[in-house]
Order: sequence, then structure tokens, then C-alpha cells
Amino acid sequence: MQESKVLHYILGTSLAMTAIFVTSALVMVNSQADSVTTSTSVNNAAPVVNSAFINTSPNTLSNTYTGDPLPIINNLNPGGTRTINLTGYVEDTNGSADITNVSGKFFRTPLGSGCSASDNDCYIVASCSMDNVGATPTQKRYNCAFPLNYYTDSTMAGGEFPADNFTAEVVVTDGTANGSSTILMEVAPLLALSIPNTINFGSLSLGVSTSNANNVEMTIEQNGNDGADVEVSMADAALTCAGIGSIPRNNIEWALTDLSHSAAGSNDLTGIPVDTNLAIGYRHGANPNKKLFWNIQIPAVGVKGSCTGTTTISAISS
Amino acid sequence: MSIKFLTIFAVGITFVCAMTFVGGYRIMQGAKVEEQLSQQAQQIKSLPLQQASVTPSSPSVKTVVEVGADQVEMGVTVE
Repeated sequence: MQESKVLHYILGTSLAMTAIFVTSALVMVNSQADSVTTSTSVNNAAPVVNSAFINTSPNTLSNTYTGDPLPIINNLNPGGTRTINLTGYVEDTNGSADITNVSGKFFRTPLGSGCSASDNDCYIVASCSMDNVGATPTQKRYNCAFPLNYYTDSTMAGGEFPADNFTAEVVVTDGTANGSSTILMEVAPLLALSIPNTINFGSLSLGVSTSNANNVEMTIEQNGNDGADVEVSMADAALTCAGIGSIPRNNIEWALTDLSHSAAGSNDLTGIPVDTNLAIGYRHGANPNKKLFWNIQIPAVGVKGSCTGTTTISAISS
Repeated sequence: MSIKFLTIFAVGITFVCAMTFVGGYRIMQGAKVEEQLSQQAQQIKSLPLQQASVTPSSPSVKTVVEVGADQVEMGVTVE
């Protein structure tokens, strides 16, 4: 009888708990009746370029060049290269790990970003450097270095393409979508020539004149992006000799072709700068150069020893 | 049926109900987490995108870089 009473209590408790569970389940199920099971997938977001600067130092977030209306690159390196850096931050809201590549181009604008690589007008960096310095979890810092040659096309007055300008373009991709940004710039003319620093006629006897067989050929090369001539002059009236005497300035002649002294077309050196019209053109491919031919006539008497002087040869725009 | 059998049956039903209740609760919790993730995804998608900014440059006057005059040494030895 005592056992039956206990079983009744257990049975009652179990039924009560079952009732509570069932009731609670019904309430909770009903309270969720209007909720819709949601599932979502995060769509790919296109990466963007947050910032873009041009600086001669890598990873520097400021612009080296100024100008109005466009910044002007006015420090190409004569006979060498000047590296400019397109730098800044790119971002992908799916996270920086989504960014797969950043590429850069620096091209003369009318050619378009599809231009073929050229040292004159189209510099391409297929993969710019990237790191996380100063970046948020969705950003990366990038740097595209363009080593601009001294003969990069000039796009300003006096240059080869005064009506054009250059575009610096950065493109970021996550493999699916791209983002880009551009900066317009000008490249200034660089007037620069490579000129030998000596004219040495060697040893000559009294009364002798040089000819096209033994004159001095001076080769002058383009070292900039501007068409150029040279002016020649000698301030001193004569070459001074260490032994005795001197050689008058007008005994020295220059010519654009391989002539002998006193030949037609050969010109006396003067104290006033004279344009030789050498006409050294723009570089496209092999470096253009021109020759200037020098002749001298040694006086018949009164001169001996090493005779020296200084000739000024100046580059001017052609 | 004996009271003993009914008691065992009732306890079993209660156990099954308890397990079902716990399981259902955990499923609902999972749905809530899923909904939170969905909301976060929407928030990420609606974040404003920053635009590239290029600071306009100030005027510059220097447009031509010239290489200065070359001083060429000229020499001849008279015998």
C-alpha cells in the first residue's frame, strides 16, 4: 500500500512535468511561428582605392609635385632615371585578405591604359608592393615604383607633346572585381646634352692646319627629352701657350660636317655664342647624337709649347 | 495496466519530452545566431566606401630644367 502511494506520486509528477514540457513547447513553437529561418551568404564587395599620391620616396603619403592645373614632374634625371612612386591605401570590405593584386601604370593619356610598355610613354608595374603598415583589417598599403627615363615624353610647352598629359593609374583587384583611381600629371621638358669635356688637337707643327683627316670629332648625345642645339663661343681672344706666344681664337673653326680648316661651311669660333643648329632630336629607341667637327690653324711663327683655353658649349632648345 | 507500468511509461514519456524540449531550445538558439550573422552581414554591406582623394597641387612655375654651359678644355701642343 505504501509502495502504491509512492508510485502514484511519481506517476503524478511525471504527468505534470510532461504537461509542462508539452505546454512550454507549444508556447515556444507558437511564439516562433512567425519567424522565418534565415540563411545568408556575404556577397563579394568590389575593392576600392582609398588614396593615391605621387612621391619620389616610396610609401610616402604626400605629393612631391605641384603645379596648376596639373602637378608637374620637373626633375627628370639627365641621362638617367627618376623613380616616382604611386602610393596609398586600397580597401576590400570583405577583408584585406581578399585583395589579390595591385597594379600601376603611368602613361601618356591619349594612349590609354591599354598601352604597350615603352620608356617614352607607357610604364607598367604588373604587381605593386603591398603591406599592412598603417592599414585597417580591410586595407592594404601599396606602392608602385616607376623609374622614369630622362627621355620620357614631355607634355608641356616646348616639349614633344604639349597638348597631352600623363595619367598615373592604380588598379586593385580581389580576383573578381576591380577598383581604380587616377592622377593626371605633366612631364616638363628636360634640356640636357652629354658633351665631351675636352677638345685635344694633339701635337702639331708651326704653320700646320688640321684637315678632315685629323680634325677633332666631338660627339654630343641627347640626355633629356627636349630637342636641342648647342651654342659655341670662347671668351678669351686666344689660346695661351706655355712656351711662347698664343693662337688667336679665329684660328679655331667648327663645322657640322667633316671639313678641313678654311673649307666652305667651316665657321670661325667667336667670343659671342653662336647657334650651331646641331638639331639633336627626341629619343625614341637608340639615343640620337650629332657630331661637331673642330679644326685649328697653328701660326707660322712665334708659338711654342702647350696651348690651352676654355670653350663654352651651351645647350639650347631647338 | 498496473500502476507500476503506468509510472514507468510516464517517466519515459517525461524523459523523451525533456530531451525534445532541450533539443528544440538549442535549435532555436542556433536560429538566433544565424539571424545575428545575417544582420552583421547586412551591416558590412552597407558600410560607406571611402573615395580616393588626390590633393590638388599648388601652382608651380618651373617647367624647364636646363643643363648649364659646358666648359670644354681646348688644347694643342705646338712642336
